[in-house]
Amino acid sequence: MADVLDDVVVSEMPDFTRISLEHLADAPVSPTSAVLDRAIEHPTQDQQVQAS
Amino acid sequence: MPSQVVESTNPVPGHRVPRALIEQVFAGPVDSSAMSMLLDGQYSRRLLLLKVLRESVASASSREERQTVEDAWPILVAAEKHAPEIVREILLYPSVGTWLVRVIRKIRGIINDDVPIWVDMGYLGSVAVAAAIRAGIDVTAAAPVWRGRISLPTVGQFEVGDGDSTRLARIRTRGSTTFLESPEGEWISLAEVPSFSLRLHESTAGGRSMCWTVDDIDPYRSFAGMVANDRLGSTEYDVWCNKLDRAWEILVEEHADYLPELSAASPVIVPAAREDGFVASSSAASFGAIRAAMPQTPADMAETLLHELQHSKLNALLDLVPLQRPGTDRPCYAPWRRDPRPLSGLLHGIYAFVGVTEYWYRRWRSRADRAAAFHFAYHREQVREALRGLGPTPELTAAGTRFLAVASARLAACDGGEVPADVRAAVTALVTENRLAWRMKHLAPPDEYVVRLADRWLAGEAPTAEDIEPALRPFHRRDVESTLPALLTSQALTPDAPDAGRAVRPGERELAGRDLAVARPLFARRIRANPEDDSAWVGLLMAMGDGRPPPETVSATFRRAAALSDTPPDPVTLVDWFARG
Repeated sequence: MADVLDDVVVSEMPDFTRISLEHLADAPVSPTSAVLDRAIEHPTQDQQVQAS
Repeated sequence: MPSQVVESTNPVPGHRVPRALIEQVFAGPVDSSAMSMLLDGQYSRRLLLLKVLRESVASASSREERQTVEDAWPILVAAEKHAPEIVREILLYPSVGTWLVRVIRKIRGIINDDVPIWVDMGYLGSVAVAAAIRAGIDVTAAAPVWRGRISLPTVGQFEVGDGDSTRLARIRTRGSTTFLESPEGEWISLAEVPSFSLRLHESTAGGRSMCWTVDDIDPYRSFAGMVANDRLGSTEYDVWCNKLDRAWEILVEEHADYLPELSAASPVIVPAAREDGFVASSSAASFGAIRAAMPQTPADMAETLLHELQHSKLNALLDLVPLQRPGTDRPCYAPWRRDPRPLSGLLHGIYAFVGVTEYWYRRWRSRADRAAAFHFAYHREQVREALRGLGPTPELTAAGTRFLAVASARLAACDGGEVPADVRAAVTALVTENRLAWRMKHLAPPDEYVVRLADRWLAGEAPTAEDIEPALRPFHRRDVESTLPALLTSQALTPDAPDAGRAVRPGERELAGRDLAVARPLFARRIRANPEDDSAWVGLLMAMGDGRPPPETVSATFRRAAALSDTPPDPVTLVDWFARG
């Protein structure tokens, strides 16, 4: 398996850090299905438990 | 700083993630610049969810439900114009992230509970009012009172009714005063009602300071659902602060490379009860939140802080860069858990426990502490087993493959040659016990295979030499109740009094003491008395040593043969019989 990473990975997560809330609703985004699937459909939690 | 007006119809570009950031996260502690990039990604995640929320509300809600969201939005916009950094801080607050995921899931019908949906949707009003108060703008908005309290994230909680009171209330901010409209239509100042502020605690050591937020009030602070205020009493709060102070001393002294990420993450400590072995948890929805039961020692507290922060950090990276290919979240064995974990959870555990292994390794190296030696050796062995079990796999992306390579290298850099032999033996036993118990509970051999094996046993023939894979059937057996893990742990930590006052089941003390010849018949007797005693099977197989058959297969064969014969097999002989296959 190759483990060589590109110098820059372009994420599916839209970069909203330069978008104001006022314009958020109108900001077009590319498909974000994987991001939303992870966030909404399959949110993850990690829990530590200890043997009693 | 949000300042650009979007006029183009081109999609907003995705975050650009430098390889150096990915490598830095994989390697462990990260600097403040890396944390800044991860936090930017988290902010985008929150805004994306806000966008989804507004779209979901518009399409799937009644007019009344929609109204609070529609009324709150312009307030949030106005607050951002006055104080963008404050709005960003509020939107990044961990419980706001939990709420966002919850309310969207609720609108979509993924979760359903007894909290009215307008309470969840109305919380955007609470967010907006909190932003208005902190930005210093005058607004009027609606926000939910839930069980008599109104909660404003990062501001506090106000008791405005009795525990049965759940309603939508109007709030007005005027200058530095905030008013709430009573059910009778009167405007009362929130300064005049009982309130609970978020408590901040500062720890200082070696000239380095850290500010912890202790959140015991926010209804969305727990990751599972809405929870009531559970304010710590002053004595208990002081104990938490003392533990945090002592943990901070350890982190400053021994793990200074983690300080930048701790400071940048602004951790929010959510105290929780120690029930059912609960230690701590984190959530992908709430970057920076550490929900924890009171750790026993300052060193445990420091470990918990680092452990959960590693999950938050990896979650933030995973929101930007996937480690797995789509559709690969199969259930896996994780050596630190009794339940099957999805592949994503296994990767998370590997990352967190590599960090924890390094934490205890440094502590052991610096003070030759027995507890540190045990925790180091134990976690290292758990991660080793996880890495061995996963191996190279096409399920991972290039980043995921690199992730595993770096994890292996970090583990290899922790040289454990001098860990006491009895500690190593206890660790080996603990890891073996967990694997066997997990197999008993979640794996099942095919019925026809068990029938063939039992028939051959009863006929006095050698076992079939087939190599049959068991099926994953999560929780098909009840819990393997065993005192063995606690006994082995105690033995490693306090060898002079490993089972003082501890109730142990027959065979377990002997197994822990490596008196295997005595342990075997004790476990066999338990099995004959109750063939469903899965922990006895685990104990027997551990006492039989290497080359043991799969526990789920030998125990199923025993039960099948016992059902077909007046004389059930001798468990020890049956285990030996499998070796002839």
